[in-house]
Amino acid sequence: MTAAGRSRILVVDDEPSLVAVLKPVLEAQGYEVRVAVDGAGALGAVALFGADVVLLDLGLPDIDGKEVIARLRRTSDVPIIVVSARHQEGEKIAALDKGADDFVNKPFEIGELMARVRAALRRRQNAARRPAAFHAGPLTIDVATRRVTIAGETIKLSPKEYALLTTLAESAGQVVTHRRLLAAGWGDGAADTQYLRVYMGLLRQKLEEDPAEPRLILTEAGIGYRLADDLPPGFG
Amino acid sequence: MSSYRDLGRSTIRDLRLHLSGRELLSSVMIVAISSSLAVWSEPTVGLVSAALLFVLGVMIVGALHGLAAALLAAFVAFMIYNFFLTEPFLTFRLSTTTDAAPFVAFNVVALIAGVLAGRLQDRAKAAQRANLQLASLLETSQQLQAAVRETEVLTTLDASAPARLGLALHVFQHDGGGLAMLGGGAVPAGVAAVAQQVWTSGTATQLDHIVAVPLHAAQGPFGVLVAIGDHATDVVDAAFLSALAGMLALALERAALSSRIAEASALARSEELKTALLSSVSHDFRTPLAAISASASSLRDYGAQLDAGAREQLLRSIVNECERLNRYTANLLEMSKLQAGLSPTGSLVDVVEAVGAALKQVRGKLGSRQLERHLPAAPLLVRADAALFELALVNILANAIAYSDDGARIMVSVAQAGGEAAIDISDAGFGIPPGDLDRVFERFQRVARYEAAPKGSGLGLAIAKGFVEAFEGRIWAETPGLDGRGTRIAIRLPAAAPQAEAA
Repeated sequence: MTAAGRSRILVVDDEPSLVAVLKPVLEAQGYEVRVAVDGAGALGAVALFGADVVLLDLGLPDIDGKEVIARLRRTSDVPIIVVSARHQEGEKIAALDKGADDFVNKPFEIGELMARVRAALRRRQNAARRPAAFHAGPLTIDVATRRVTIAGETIKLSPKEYALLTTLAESAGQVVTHRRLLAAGWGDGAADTQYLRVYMGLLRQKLEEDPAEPRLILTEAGIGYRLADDLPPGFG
Repeated sequence: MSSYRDLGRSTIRDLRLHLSGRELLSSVMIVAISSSLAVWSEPTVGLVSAALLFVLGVMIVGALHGLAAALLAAFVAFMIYNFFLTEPFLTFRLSTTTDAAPFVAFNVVALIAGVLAGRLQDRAKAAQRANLQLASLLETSQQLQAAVRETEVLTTLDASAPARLGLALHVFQHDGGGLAMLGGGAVPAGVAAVAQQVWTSGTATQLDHIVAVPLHAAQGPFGVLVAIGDHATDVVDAAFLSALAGMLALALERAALSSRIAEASALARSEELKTALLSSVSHDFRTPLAAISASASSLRDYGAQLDAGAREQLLRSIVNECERLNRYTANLLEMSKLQAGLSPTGSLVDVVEAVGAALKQVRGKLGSRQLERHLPAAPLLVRADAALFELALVNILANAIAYSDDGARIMVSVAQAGGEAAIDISDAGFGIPPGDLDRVFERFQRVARYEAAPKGSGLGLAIAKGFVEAFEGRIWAETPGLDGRGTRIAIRLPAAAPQAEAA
């Protein structure tokens, strides 16, 4: 895996032990790393240093992590990955609703964190140049023709299924909340995740090799779904 | 309250057929005065006017002392009248039948005055009684309002007016199986049967020595209130007892509810504690685990790309965080032991040595904080559990570090003060709000540094307190600690005599 040039990562965590691990490892991967130990430091660092990705712990000593996200979002669209020991879904959903892009639960393996960082960086690049096609493992989505193929074979999707899949693909590798998916499929008014579960089941039937053990459309329990983007490429 | 109306309207209970000595004396005096006046004035004012004076005397006696006194006065007055004022003078013989007319008149007047006075007094007494009952109900109601527990309700009942007037009040409660008397004690003979009868019929019973009324709560009847004593009905009637029973039922219902609430909140508190413990474990164990997992997986996945220094740092972090996890585990374990009331075993421990061992453990976390030590040269012995002592000291020191800025001073001083070993750990950190100085020793209590999630398990100081108290010492928190800010945790343990070591 090649490192993404000199992408700048801001690590915001008040736990010296974790920072002491992340900094050298991220630097060894070719990232430029800055560290902030509290919310005020994080806001200042983004304003001065700019960042391509922010790794944010929610339990900061001065400002609540969710508030940091809200304040960052007023001036910046930098990808924010929440890194938190908080296990409550509610906290994560609130953070994602405030504008965080993804989350990693403590404790985590470094590979998982790196995958999230890469997904965030890729999404940022994609957003800039609006790719005509999307690839994830065996899955290909041709945006212009609305053609979806698995390992070269065309899959027929309903408009709703297509809308859900492209919403996942736009944030490939990142979690997409129930709320965002519902908005994409049913408009903002719809609220029943039961529909979502049914349609995700249908999508999995069509896309997954083994719908009972999905590898492409992953469930983030209580929060949303994630389209895996680092599968072995297969035919894609 | 129909009985009070009945009282005033139709029956006259008190015709006052008894006379007390005082009333007799007063009656005699009134008759004597009125008679003397009549006899003395008769020659000048005439017989009719003199007779009226007798009537006046009889009437006054009747009004003041009732029928019996009036009739007596009428008789005596007539005798005097007959003796002094009618012919033949100075004899009791009646010369003509017309002379008997005053006798009849006196007695009719006496009768009317006496009956009227009796009725008046009856009404006054009834009103007074009603007032008394009302006042006693009011008083009892106020006391019942303050009673929260069943025992308090029963105590209040025992202090109520009927009880003070010599009646025994018993409360029976129906508990599904049958009627049981509240408050324990032997059920007086015959009372249970009356209570059972009132319970079955659902209506009040009023006998001479016993009055019983049913108790009603919101859900329906639930018991019986019984008042027994000689002439019980003289003191209370069913209406009064019913009013008392109404308030009593409310109070007992409230007592039952409040005891249920107390149980529920005790349960909720223990649930809260468990939740706090779980979330504490979850947070505190995941943080070091995160560092360990990230370090180990980094070494596995990217080991080749890391330089020697970085690899060394990751390995050191794994070891350090394992030590931290170990301390958390020890804290939890010790907490549950202290909680279970297991007394730690004591041996002679040198405070200076324990402080030294604790400092060694936290030195790596000091950063650029300046540690000052004031330790005595000679050993200072206390009786304690060495491992728990060290854990308590590490907890306090870790707090001092976690709650103060890099570069701030931390001071540890040990001294012998009287018969005690004094250990003070002071910092120049964020401090504790004065109102929270006691609360920091409670489990899962963390000083709200800010709104954010705090570090630490919230067990550290609770364990320190548990330890110190297990060895008959004292621990408290003061603010400020150092440089006009921060916190001082002070420990006092009884100093052990050095010769005990040899023994």
